[in-house]
Amino acid sequence: MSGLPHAPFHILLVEDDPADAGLAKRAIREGRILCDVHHAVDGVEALAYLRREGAHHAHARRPDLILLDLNMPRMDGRGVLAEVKKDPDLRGIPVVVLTTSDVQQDIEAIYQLGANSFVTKPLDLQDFFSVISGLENYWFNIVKLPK
Amino acid sequence: MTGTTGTRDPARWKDWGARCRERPTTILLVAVTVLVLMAVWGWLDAVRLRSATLDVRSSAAIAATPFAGSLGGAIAKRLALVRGLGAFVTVELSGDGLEDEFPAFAEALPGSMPGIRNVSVAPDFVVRLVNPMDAGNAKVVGHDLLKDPRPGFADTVRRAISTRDVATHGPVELLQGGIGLIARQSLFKDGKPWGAVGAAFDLPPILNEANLSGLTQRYRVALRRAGGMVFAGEEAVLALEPVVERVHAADGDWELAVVPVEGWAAAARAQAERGPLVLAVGGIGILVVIVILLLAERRATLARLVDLRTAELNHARRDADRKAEQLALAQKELEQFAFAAAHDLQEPVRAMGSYAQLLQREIGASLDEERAALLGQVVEGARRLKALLSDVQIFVAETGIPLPDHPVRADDALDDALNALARTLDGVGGRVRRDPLPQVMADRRRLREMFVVLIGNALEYRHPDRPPDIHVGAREGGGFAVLTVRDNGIGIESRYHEQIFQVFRRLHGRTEHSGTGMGLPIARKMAERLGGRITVSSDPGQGSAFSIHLPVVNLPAVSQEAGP
Repeated sequence: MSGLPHAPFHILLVEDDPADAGLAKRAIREGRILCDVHHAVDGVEALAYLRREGAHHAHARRPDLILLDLNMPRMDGRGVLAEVKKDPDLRGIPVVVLTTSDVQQDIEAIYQLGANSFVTKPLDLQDFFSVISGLENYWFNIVKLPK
Repeated sequence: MTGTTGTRDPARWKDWGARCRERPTTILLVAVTVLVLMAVWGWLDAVRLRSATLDVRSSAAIAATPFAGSLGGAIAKRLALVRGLGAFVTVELSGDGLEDEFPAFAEALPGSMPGIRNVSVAPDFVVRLVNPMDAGNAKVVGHDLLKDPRPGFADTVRRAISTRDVATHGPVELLQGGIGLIARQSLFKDGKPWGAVGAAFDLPPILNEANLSGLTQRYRVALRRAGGMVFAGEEAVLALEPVVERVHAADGDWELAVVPVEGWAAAARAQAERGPLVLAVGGIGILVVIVILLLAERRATLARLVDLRTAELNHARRDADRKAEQLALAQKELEQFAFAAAHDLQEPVRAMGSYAQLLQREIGASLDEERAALLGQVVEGARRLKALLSDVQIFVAETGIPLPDHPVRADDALDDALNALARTLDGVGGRVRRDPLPQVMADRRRLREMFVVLIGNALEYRHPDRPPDIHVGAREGGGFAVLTVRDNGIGIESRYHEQIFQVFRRLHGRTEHSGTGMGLPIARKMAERLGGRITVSSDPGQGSAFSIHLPVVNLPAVSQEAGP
């Protein structure tokens, strides 16, 4: 539609904090693997995007990976995770929870809900870039994803 | 003033009445006391009356005795007169002068004694001679004594014959009229009954002679022969429990029955002094009632006081409870606030740090040294703030983390800690010597954190002249396992031993030693949550020893754990 060729991989970034989102988008852009990113600011918008609900989501692309923050207004990451993992169409999309929390109970609950990975955002920028880069490498290079 | 007293008194009485209604026990007690006192009064009064009655009776007897004596004397005089007549007649029997001599003898008699109705001589028990010979006495001449149909008359004569002495009859209604005492003596001639002499005496002179009027002023009297009819006084007296005195007459006694004019009870009451008894019993009664009322009042006062104090205490306790509740709530809110603040502040701080770093990446190469340093301060400040917030979060969250339900091997936790510190250890050239450690009642994460803090501090505060040499040992004492981390570092002066466990307290400048100042407070809080504590001893310049005291594991649990 835009005439531009699609990037090989598509990432849905669900993050309410613009600063964090900006950093993540920048890290993805600087990564070695060509990805494009859709940013949803909360769980409700993320689910609408995934289900192509609403006019401006009609042509939404199915993401190859979801980067999901936990604490958000309206619907938090746990809610999004639960919805995605019980939806047969969406269940196959890997969900990486990317959060500041490292509380053990959070981690266990998230895996119980079916998250594919739980990653604590590193404080250091370089480390954060490395984590994003590592995630891209793992999910788009090392493992095989459903088509 | 008058107005006040006027209104106060009724109020007080009303108050008192209300209190009585509140206290039925008091009323009951007073009522019982009054009843008992009334019973005591009745008993005492009866005893007193009995004793007074005895007194009055003995007084009556004492009053009656002389009269009975005089009466007996008066009778005896008259019987002696009859005996004298008998002697006179006996003497005259030997001659024939009896009929002639008799009137002279008889007429001489009344002067010696009042109330002689007649004297008579009855040969063969038929009256022949009578003196004085008046109309009344003339009727008896020719009267055959042994054939007298009136009850008792002939019997008296027969009794006189059988006793050969004087026998009396009556006082009775006389043939001549009036009441009189008849006395007869039998006379014998040659051993055979010859006949009788007799006399009739008017009763009133006999009684006068005994001065009966002296007695009748105060007493009602009745006079009778023993067991016979009353012939003087009132017959009714006999039914009034009289005092009876015996009057000695030669032929059968008389009885003198005496009763006070006003009756025994009244006399006794008059005799007995009631006043002292009334005073005594009444006084005691009033005293007892007053004492009871005072005691009841005192008890009521005490009870009111206790109620008051109890209410105050309850109030104070409720107050304290409420305050404790408020305090607990405030503390909880504070913790929640601290946790939320620590947690939520980390996000923007991280963003600040990250973007500062991003700037360093993008333009760092083009900045001069001074500006690069400024940017570096921003990055470093954000890093430190993030670390502080993270430690505060850990410190606050510690309270909410569940406690272990089974023991762990302290060796495992130490392994974890040494792994985490491996790079730092290598960096400063330190070494850790370790003894075998026991099982302790803790969870592995907390114990690891405590080891990390203590060993990390030992490395951080190492002595500048020697590489860190750390020893981890264990001992048991007082029901606790004591895990001690001993170093050869700079040591801590004893006056700082408490400060180092306080939140954000640091003994060194930030350029000397980094760190948030939260390590020891977190470690101590963990130990305390586990039911233990952390203590420190130090030899400044030589080194420090931090000891983690944790409850020892009970043995069954250990063998179960160590079994396979």
